[in-house]
Amino acid sequence: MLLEVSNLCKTYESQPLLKGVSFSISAGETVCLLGASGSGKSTILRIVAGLETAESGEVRWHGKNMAGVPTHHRNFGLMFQDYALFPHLNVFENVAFGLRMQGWGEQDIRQRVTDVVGQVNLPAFEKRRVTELSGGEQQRVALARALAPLPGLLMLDEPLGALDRGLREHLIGELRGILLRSGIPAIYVTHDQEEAFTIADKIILLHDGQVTQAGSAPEVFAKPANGWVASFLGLGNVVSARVAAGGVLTPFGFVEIKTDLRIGQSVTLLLRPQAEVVQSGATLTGKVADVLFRGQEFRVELENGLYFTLASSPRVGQQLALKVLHMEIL
Amino acid sequence: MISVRKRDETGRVTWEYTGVVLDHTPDFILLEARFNRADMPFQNITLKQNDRFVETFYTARWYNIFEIHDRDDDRIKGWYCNVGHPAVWDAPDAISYIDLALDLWVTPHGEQTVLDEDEFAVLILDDVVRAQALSALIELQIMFKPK
Repeated sequence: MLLEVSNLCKTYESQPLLKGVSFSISAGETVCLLGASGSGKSTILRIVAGLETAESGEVRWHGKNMAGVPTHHRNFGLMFQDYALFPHLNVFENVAFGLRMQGWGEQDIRQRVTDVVGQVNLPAFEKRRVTELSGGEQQRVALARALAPLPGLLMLDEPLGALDRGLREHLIGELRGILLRSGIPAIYVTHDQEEAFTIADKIILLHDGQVTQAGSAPEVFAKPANGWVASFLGLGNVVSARVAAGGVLTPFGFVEIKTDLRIGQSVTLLLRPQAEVVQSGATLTGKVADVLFRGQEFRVELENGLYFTLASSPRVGQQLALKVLHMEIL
Repeated sequence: MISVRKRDETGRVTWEYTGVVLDHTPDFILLEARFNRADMPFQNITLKQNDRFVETFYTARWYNIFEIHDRDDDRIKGWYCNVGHPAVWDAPDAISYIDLALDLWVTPHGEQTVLDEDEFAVLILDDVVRAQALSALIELQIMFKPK
């Protein structure tokens, strides 16, 4: 393992913030720490960077315990939402900044800056002043600056958080390509599940100071560990239920589903959104409260609070019998 | 030419000097000032009278950064970063900032030293200001990481 984080604990304003967080990163891997604000994900990053200390737990890099190693001696690049560029320096000098500090020769600096500015698709920008650039361009310069000194690990904390949605969607794909090509392993912190699904080889979901689930995007999507994960990722309707003969009892009626659990046991049922209108064999029924057009399909909201996606639009007020195509007990 | 006023946490002006504005936007003010005291040792260097300070004051960030160039050969001797309230325009020809004691000194090779943590610890500040100051220090430490 390249980086091993074990059992980090930290309290914040006398509340436990991290309650034993562990995860690891292998060579070339992009790992995403995904959680709501206040979940402690940025704190984890700062502990790994050496900017904060944990009350207990360990950070190991190539097997070496990093306790006591100051941040400027850790071989980790950082990129934050707030670009942290120097306004008095042009693009070239901002990107060259760390290289000069490390004593690189002038020719090597020129070569490396040219390479990395090309990698982030800003080739003609070297002489430009950073204050003349758009937010997206500044963020590319910040990425180039972080990549330039060839860090052993790149850490990105909500790097696209300050940008508007369209630009974010564009940049996230580009960022994934840049990270893949650079081969530099990365920790990417975000609260946005779409960003996480796009960029991560491995997603680590944080909730209530702990790792709730870790796995690849398809794994997490297919098998959410619990109701919180399913709700947070917006995988569908998360419903409390109780096991009965041949199915479960929900506030929306009896739902037929196979389970080996004992009758009477409390469970969480995930009803994924894909559904179809049927004449018989319905999973449940409900009255249409609203219909939202979503390009390929319609998102149908029912008066009982559930929502589903249908291929064609029902009328508002119509009573529907729906077969839910994918559902599982969590 | 504008004046720069450094204030303590009570708002009292503790130091005032002048500088030439090189650039400014609503977000920052960049100016050049000359060190106006006699030569003095500081950390691992000597600050010399007339050393060239390229100073960036931010209007929304809780720090300012002085890039110190030697008066004789203009080489960079280091960066002195003050943690404090964002800078404000007092008048069309004067800016000021409230200093919060905490400083970061960075050498040209990227060695970082946090200064005056003890002084910061005894300042009477509300929790929000204290937290802002500490996160500003972290931001500076990140900005100046060699890697």
